Amino acid sequence: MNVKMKYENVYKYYRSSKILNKLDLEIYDGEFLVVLGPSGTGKTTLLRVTVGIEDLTAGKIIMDGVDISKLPPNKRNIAMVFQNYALYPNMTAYQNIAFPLKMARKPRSEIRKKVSEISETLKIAEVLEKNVTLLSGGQKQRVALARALVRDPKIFLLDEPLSNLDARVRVVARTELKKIQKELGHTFVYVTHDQSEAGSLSDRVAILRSGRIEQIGTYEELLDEPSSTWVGDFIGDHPMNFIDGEKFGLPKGTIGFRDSWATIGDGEISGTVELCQLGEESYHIQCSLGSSESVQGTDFVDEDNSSQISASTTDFLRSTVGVRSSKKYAVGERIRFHLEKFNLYDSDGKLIESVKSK
Amino acid sequence: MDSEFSGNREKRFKITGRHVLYFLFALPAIAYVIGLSIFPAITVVYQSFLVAGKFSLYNYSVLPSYGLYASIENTLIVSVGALLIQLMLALAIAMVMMKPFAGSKIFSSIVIIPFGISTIVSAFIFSLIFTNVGGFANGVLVALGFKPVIWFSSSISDLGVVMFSDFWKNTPLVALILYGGLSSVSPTLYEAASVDGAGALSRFTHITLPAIAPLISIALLVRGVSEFNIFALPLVLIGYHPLILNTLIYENYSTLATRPISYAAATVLLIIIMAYSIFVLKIGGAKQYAR
Amino acid sequence: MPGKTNPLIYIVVVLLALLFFYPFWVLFLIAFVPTRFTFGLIYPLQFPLEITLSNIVNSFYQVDLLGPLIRSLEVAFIVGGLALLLGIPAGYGIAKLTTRISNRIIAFLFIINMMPGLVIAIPISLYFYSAHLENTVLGVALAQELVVLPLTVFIIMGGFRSLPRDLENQARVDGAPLSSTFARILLPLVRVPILIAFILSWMTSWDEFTYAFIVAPIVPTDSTFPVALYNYVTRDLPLQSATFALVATIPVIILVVVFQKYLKGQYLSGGLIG
Repeated sequence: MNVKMKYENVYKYYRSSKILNKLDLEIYDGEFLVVLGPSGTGKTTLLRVTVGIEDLTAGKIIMDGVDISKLPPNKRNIAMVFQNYALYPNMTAYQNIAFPLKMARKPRSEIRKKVSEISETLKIAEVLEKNVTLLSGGQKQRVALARALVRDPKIFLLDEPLSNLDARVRVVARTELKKIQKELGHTFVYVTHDQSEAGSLSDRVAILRSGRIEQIGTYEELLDEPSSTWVGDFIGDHPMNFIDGEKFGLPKGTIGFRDSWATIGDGEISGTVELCQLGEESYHIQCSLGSSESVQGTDFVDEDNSSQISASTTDFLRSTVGVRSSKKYAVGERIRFHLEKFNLYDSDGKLIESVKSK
Repeated sequence: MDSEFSGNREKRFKITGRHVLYFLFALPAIAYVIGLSIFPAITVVYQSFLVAGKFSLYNYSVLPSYGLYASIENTLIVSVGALLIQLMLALAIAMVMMKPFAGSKIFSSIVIIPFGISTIVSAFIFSLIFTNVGGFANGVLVALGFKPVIWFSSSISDLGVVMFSDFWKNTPLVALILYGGLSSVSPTLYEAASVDGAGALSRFTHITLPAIAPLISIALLVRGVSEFNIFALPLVLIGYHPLILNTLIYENYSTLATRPISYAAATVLLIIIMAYSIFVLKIGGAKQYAR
Repeated sequence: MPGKTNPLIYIVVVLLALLFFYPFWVLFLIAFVPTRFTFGLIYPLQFPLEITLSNIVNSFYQVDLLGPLIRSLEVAFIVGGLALLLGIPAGYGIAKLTTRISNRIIAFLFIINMMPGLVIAIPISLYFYSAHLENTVLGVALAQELVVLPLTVFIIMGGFRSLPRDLENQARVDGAPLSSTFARILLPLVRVPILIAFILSWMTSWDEFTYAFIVAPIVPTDSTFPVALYNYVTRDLPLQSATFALVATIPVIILVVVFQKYLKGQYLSGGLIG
């Protein structure tokens, strides 16, 4: 695959905080890359330095082989859709979409043609003559998208563009967005903190943490083999379970496994059921582990566990784990389960290897 | 004050009762303003059409010989000129205040304090700055290598001095109004425009100007009317020559015999102000619809 | 766009600052520099070679400074107090009315405000003459009140408007009559807009010339300081005028500096958002 854009040793400091801290990333031509990370970790800053409305403290951004780090925004040929759309309030939808072309001094006939094409594709042709402040959320979002697409730029940056939409509209918009990207073949860099968006939209996902890319890969790769306990905890509907291997007769180190990797029945780990809830297809069971007296008490633990963002593995070690089952268990029942596969992490939380049972 | 349980009919009944009460609270202030504003104005207009107790247009017919046309012209010149100066300065100040820079607090103090200065104090100071021979303004000019100016040599230069001196006390208000408008524009909008390829000038014309246009209308209305009303400044700087409408009115007010003339002139001023207000409101309103 | 502070900005800042500071500077020079360096020269010195207090001190002996200042104080406080007396109930009443009606009333008040001061001052002074109010503190105050009322009502209305709607409903549910609701709950919450309205009214009255000049003009000892200052200016007494101007201006400078941030803030536009 072609590398469309490359970030080399990018640093962005603002006063005393290091927002981007040795960030290296390669983005392929035509891919839908989702940059995922908790709120406030610099995702928006990454987009802002990419498009040029903020300077880099150090490092380079190279697009199509050209170093664009010092170019002003209008010379970079990169489009951006802002989180709140940033539509010009005194103009109609048509004027908003036409604006970049007007700034590029394109002839009026060409502008008219391009705007009507893109508005047909995005299904906003009927509202072109309306002032943008009168449009619905979904329409505004599509106008913002149209304004970005109409310039035919090399890369599209999107800053959580769906977060202001109603849930139902969001799902529809998501599908349409993916379709448009595939049809037009553009490179999209999409920033979000929403995992389901990451999962459904992305070709690849890049996890941004503490100013650098923690791991990059397809969503499935990130689910299956998170490179650190932090990623394992962050990615997925339910955080990865982490237990101290030795306590349960497993290899030395921290064992990480997803709830679907455990089969209930005969197994090397035993536990007591605390909570059994029906999910979409199967039951999700929280059970406290019974092996060692140093394990924490059996208080009720609710599903949304702490999402600690820290490098220490002991923060993720839990006394209760989540597993899946097709049948229901009563609270207090003792169960045993066997791990089909698991990941082994060292004391710094880094992945050592992925282990499968025979 | 509407309860969600009441039906339409009951709602209206409730509204009437309470609303009368609220209106009564406002009545003293409203009555005061009407009593001390509209009634006197009506009196003036009424009296201007009286000669020896009878209806007559005599006062108006002799107005021109007292300098009516010249004073109207001069009033317009000073007002328009002062407004333009104040708008430009205020825009510069408002735009500068939007940016962070070292010493911005001191700067905004220096620029806003004149708002609290009495018009007479301002008039006094500028009468010292602008003198025909010597004086502070000429001092600065000479120090910079220019020739001194005889500030009060002609009607136009007189008006020019008045027009200019008016900036000091009045620009702060316009600047604050415009600053309010500028700060209401989200910076993201400018960023998006920058990404769309708009340079500084394009960003100004497409984003800044439309955002402050309604406020410029407000400023023009409020300050414009005040400009037609300036009194202390011209009184001190140029006295009764050349005449503007207000000095014309006052000059004739002091003598009983010519008082009706002053009423007629006052009525003329009133008409001009009303015409101006309607004009600005129409233009300002039209801009809203042009969206 | 990326944070470079354009040097052009500094040039503009300096030019504007010089322009607005210069008149203060001139006042300072006239008041504190010996006359041989100011009036004694064709081109007065732009920088003080010597500072003296004798200009000021002599002026105190030569003219009656205290009288007009005291009268201005009296007038200003009456104007401010009356503004609150009329403006607080009006602001409350108008805030509670529907937006359409309240906007019309406010617009009406401001339009009335635009009547030319001189035009109105003349018949008012004639009324006052028959009511024996001419040349009195009360007369001047009553006339100036006209100027300050619309803005006062506007600001206070904005203050009441920004209160949460359910506050009064809650008080009613708790059984409080309107008067104590008003005094104990609402008023304290709008004390900042009230203070601002008072200060603006006070300052406007303190500075006001036209009405004071028409209603109380003739004898300087009966008039407020702007009129007295005008007298000294027309009698060509610049030193005395400068002293007067200085003394009268210092309080407003202090007021503006202290309340600057409120002027920039939402209090002036409180009514607009409604």
